[in-house]
Parts: sequence; structure tokens; C-alpha cells
Amino acid sequence: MSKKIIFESSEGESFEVDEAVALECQTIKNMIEDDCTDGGIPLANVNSATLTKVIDYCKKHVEAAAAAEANAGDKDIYGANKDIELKTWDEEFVKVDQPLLFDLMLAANFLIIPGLLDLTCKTMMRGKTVLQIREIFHIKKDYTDAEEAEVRKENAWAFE
Amino acid sequence: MKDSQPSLSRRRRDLYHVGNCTTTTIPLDLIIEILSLLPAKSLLQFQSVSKLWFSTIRSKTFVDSFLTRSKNRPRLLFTFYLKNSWEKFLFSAPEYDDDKSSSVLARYDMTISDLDEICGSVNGFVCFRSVVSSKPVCNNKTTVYNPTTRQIMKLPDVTSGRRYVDALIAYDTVEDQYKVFCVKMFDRKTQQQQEHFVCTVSSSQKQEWRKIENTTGGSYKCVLLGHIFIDGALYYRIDQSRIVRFDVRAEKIEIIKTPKESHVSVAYDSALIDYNGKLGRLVGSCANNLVTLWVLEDVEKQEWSSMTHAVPYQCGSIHRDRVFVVCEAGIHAGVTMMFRLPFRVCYYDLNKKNIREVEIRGMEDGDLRRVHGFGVLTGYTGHIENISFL
Repeated sequence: MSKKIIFESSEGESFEVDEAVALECQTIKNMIEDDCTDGGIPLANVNSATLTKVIDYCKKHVEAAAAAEANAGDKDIYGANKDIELKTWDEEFVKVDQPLLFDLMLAANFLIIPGLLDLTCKTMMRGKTVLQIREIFHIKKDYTDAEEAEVRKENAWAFE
Repeated sequence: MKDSQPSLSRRRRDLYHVGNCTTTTIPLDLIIEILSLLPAKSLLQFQSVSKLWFSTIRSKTFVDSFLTRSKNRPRLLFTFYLKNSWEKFLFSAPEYDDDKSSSVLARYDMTISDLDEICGSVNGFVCFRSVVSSKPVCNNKTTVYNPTTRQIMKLPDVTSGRRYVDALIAYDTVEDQYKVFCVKMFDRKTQQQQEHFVCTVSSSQKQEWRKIENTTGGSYKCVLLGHIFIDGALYYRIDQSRIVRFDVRAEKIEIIKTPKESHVSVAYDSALIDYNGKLGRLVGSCANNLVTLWVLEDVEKQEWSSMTHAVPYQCGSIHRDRVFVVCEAGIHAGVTMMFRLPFRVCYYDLNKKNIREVEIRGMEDGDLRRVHGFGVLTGYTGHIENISFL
């Protein structure tokens, strides 16, 4: 029976996961090593919907790593397919609305899950215009129109 | 157990503290993290998001970290012009996309409107040279391009009379400066001695050519194709038996002799490479597909070591490749790359002794290129993307 770790979302909901799954989060790994996870880990800035997704991601990647290890000898034959399968899974995983993707990114940053952070950041930024970026990040334009035109002009080709 | 108590409470406190943040404010650290995942083109666009994003993307720390990441994903740089056209095109493609793929897609980087000759690249800055001749005066125009940002920097003309001029770009690792090194060759007819000049590439200060004292006593008539920049020094071949080393920081030149056994009959049948930070010289033999790698073990004592490799037939000899395409052979972490006909690159790993062929797609597309056909195609290895503005 593997050790269980309990997460608590911002709404106070509890999520029980295998220690191996929790170890995917560097922040939690450090806590486990310091032996301070008894009584659950409150994650006051991660809501239940986001936490559910984060746990899904970690579970899938733990399983995939275990399967890859079991098939290590046959890697040439099966390894490539497995990689593609996980990639496809990741792509499906981030087909969510913008606010959830944003929350997932913040959670990945806070919990330190490099794979998930990379995945969410890239997905969020892909094909975005400057205006969309300002919207997503709640950034107020602090350039005057003339200043912005100047900055754009310098690298006009990048906007083609 | 006692030790873990403070740690526990501290961590808990940290977690609660972070919990007070609203999800709408993003720490700058995370913004930098996100930006570091983006390709150069997106970064150039996102400079216009806000002043903070602009200054973050332009900061030396960010530019340097981008360069460090780029060094782990070197690219092949291709330059070619079309038949009956004065325009020159720059394309680049990943050197290692991933080990399994047998083809990579080349990306269009920029067009150069003069029929310039490429004369080397360092850290993503590519140097081109063209000659405008109105006899008896020859003006050599040198321009530095950064295909990643498309920045163009023109250097002052070099007036050479009838003498042949060559220029190479190098990087001063200590001062963090790019310098173009230029040689006016020895001219037998007029007995004009050879002269070396250097110009620091910068848009913020006046650019001028400074003459370097030649203490080597040697003279030469040309710079052979295939120079290399390794750890603060530029190396180029001047004939079969001699290599010039230019110390970029000290701005000093010296001549290095190559071992007698390594001299071959055809000068361009060899290439300089970076062999794990040491100067390597590949000498190929077309007769038996043998390639000997000479490594300069000690610069001061000028000691060389050698090893011979039987290169698989598919790779072709260095010599034969150059008949079709003027190119470089480079080693990156023990991998030799040799260009065959245009659009196929052959990687030969000296350690694993295996060979991998990769097709370069995307350059032959486009009506213009199909109609005109290709002129000379030049391929360089180890091109690095750099978002620095000089």
C-alpha cells in the first residue's frame, strides 16, 4: 500500500493522491522530504477545478514513466509510440478555456511542475497577438500610440 | 524531529502567504519564465506589450540567457542566390530536431539585396562582404547582419587599391564585443605588405578600422574558406602548412604551423572544426574515404595529435562535397557534419561511428526559386539565434 498525501483546495475540498503522484510537484517533494505533510497540504491559491486537472496530469505522467521503464528494453520499438501517445494526451489535456489554462499555469509555477508549466505556457502563448496578451495578463498599455508605433516599426517583419 | 518543526511552520506560512495573491497578478519571475519559452519572433512582437515587457526582453540578463539556450539548439545556416537575381536569401534549419526525424524544415530568415559573399558568423551575427570596384580604387563594403532580429550594421568601407581583402567576424568574450577582422593581402606586383585591421561592431559609438601590428613576419595571399572561432580566438587557414590565430581580446595575430604529415595535395580538402573547445583540422582523402582529424593540443607549444576515421561512403569526402556546395564541416560535441548535395545533410558521429542523413525541406518551395533555380548554396553549421541588438 503506497503512502497517501492529502491536498486541500482553496474551497477546502480534500484530494487524496499517491505519494508518487504528489512527488511530481517539486514544492510538495521538498515538503515530503522535510516530513511536513501530515494532516494534509492546504493549497489556498489552487481551486478544486484546477487541482483536479493538476492531479490528472501528474497521475498520467507517473503512469507513463512507469510504463516506459517497464518497456525500457524494447524502447526502439515501443518508445517512440509511447512518446507520441503522451504528447497527444498532453495536447488534449490543455484544450481548456483560457481562465482555467491560466490557473493551471499559475498552479504549475507554484507547485513547480516543470513539464506542466512548459506545456501550459506554450499553449497559452501560441499564436497570440499583442492585444490578446494584454488581455490574458491584465496588462494595461503604458505606451503612448506614438511610442508603440515606434517599437512596432523597429521589428515590423515580426508582425507579418 | 525537533529540527523539522521550524521548517514545517515556515513552509506552511509560505504556502498561506502565496495564497493571499489574486490570480490576476503574475510575478515577474513567471513572466520571465514564460518569455524564455518563446521563439525570437514572438519576443520581438511582445516587446510592444508594455514597457516592462520591452525592458525585460531587452535586458542583458534575458538576452544572455536566450543565447545560452540557443547554443543548445544550434542551427544550420544556408545562404544562396537565385540564378539571374541579385538577391541573396538566408535560411536556417535546426541541426538536431530530434534524433528520429529524417527531415527538418528550413525557415526563411531574411533577404540581402546585394550580391555579398558570406564571410563567417559568430553568436548569430553574420558578416557579409562585397566589393565595389571603380578602378584603381576598390571599396570593400562589410556588413553585419543578425538574421534573428534582422538588424543590419554597415561598417566603414575599406579601400584596398588592387589588393585582395578578406573579412571575418569574431567575438571578444571578455569585453562582450563583436569585432570584424580584415586583411589586406600582400601584393607581389606592388610589393605592398599585408595589413590587418579590426573594427568593433557597435551602433552606439563611431566605427573605425584600427590597424594591427603584424609581428609574425609571415605574409600570405589569401584566407582559405572555412575559418573557425573557438574560445576567444579566430583561426583561418592561409595555405596547407599554416593557420593564423587571431586573439580577439588582445588583437594579436600569430601563425601556427600544421604537422608535415597532415599536408595534402589539394588545399580545400581540409576544414577547421571546433573539437571540444580545441582547434581541429579535418583532412580528407578522396581516394579511400579516410578522414584524419588533427587536434591542436597545445597552442603555445603547437603540439598536434591525430586520429584517423574511415568515413562511410554516403558521407562523401570533404573534397567532393565542396564541388557541389561550398560548405563547412563542423564538430559539435563529437558529431561531424558533412554536407552532401544541397538539401541533404549528413551527420557522422566520430565517437559512435554512426551516420545520419537529414533532408532539409522548405528552401526549394516558392515560385521564384522554382523558375530561377539555385545559384551557389553555402551551408554553415553552428548558427546560433541571438536577440541582442548591437
